[in-house]
Amino acid sequence: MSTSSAAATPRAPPGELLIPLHVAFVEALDKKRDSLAYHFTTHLRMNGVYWGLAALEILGRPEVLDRQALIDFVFSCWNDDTAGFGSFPGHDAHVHSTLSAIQILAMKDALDELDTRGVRDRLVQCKQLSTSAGTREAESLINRP
Amino acid sequence: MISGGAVLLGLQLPSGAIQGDKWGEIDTRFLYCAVSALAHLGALDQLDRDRTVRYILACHNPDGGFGTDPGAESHAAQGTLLSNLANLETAC
Repeated sequence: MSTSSAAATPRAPPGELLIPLHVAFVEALDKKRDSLAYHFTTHLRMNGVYWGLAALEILGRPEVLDRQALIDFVFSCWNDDTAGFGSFPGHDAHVHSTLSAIQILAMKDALDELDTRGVRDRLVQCKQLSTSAGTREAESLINRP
Repeated sequence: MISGGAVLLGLQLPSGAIQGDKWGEIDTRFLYCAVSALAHLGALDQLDRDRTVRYILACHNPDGGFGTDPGAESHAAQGTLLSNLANLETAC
């Protein structure tokens, strides 16, 4: 069996940050909606959008993700029953996805949308939840990023 | 179940812990999320500062780290709690 030396030798790391490649990678993430992995990771979508946007901001290319589309996605994940943001439309609200939603809005200078849409007070109001611990075990398995 | 609860302050328990959602998992990472979110919203003054700080310190271990709960082993992710303490120090 012959192996080429090129295949066996690790390539030297690039000497500079390959910004166009990183931007293209992040940009492509939302275009894989026909893949099974896309649908198996909907519970992390809001977090993923935040991570992708944060990376693009650091890379100096925040305009790659459309501002209004980001805001529309965030509010499509609003869950009125639990007064918070879920990770995907129709999901229960969770404090982790809610933080990511607020961070996305903050990065896009759009926190005032919370007032416009009348949800800011509902987000922070102090109303104690009654809880069910039934799925605590399962949640601890699936909720880690 | 619940109706009309809120995902931030409404998730804080009498112990000071903050659960992730209505289903009840508790982890100091969720406390970080809630404090950070409230700071973004300018609403930290609505949080029970003493109860929250007391709970964070209860998760502090002799090795210098913080765990997910009181008595749980230290984990690097829980170092984010230090930024919570910094936030609460200046905001309240």
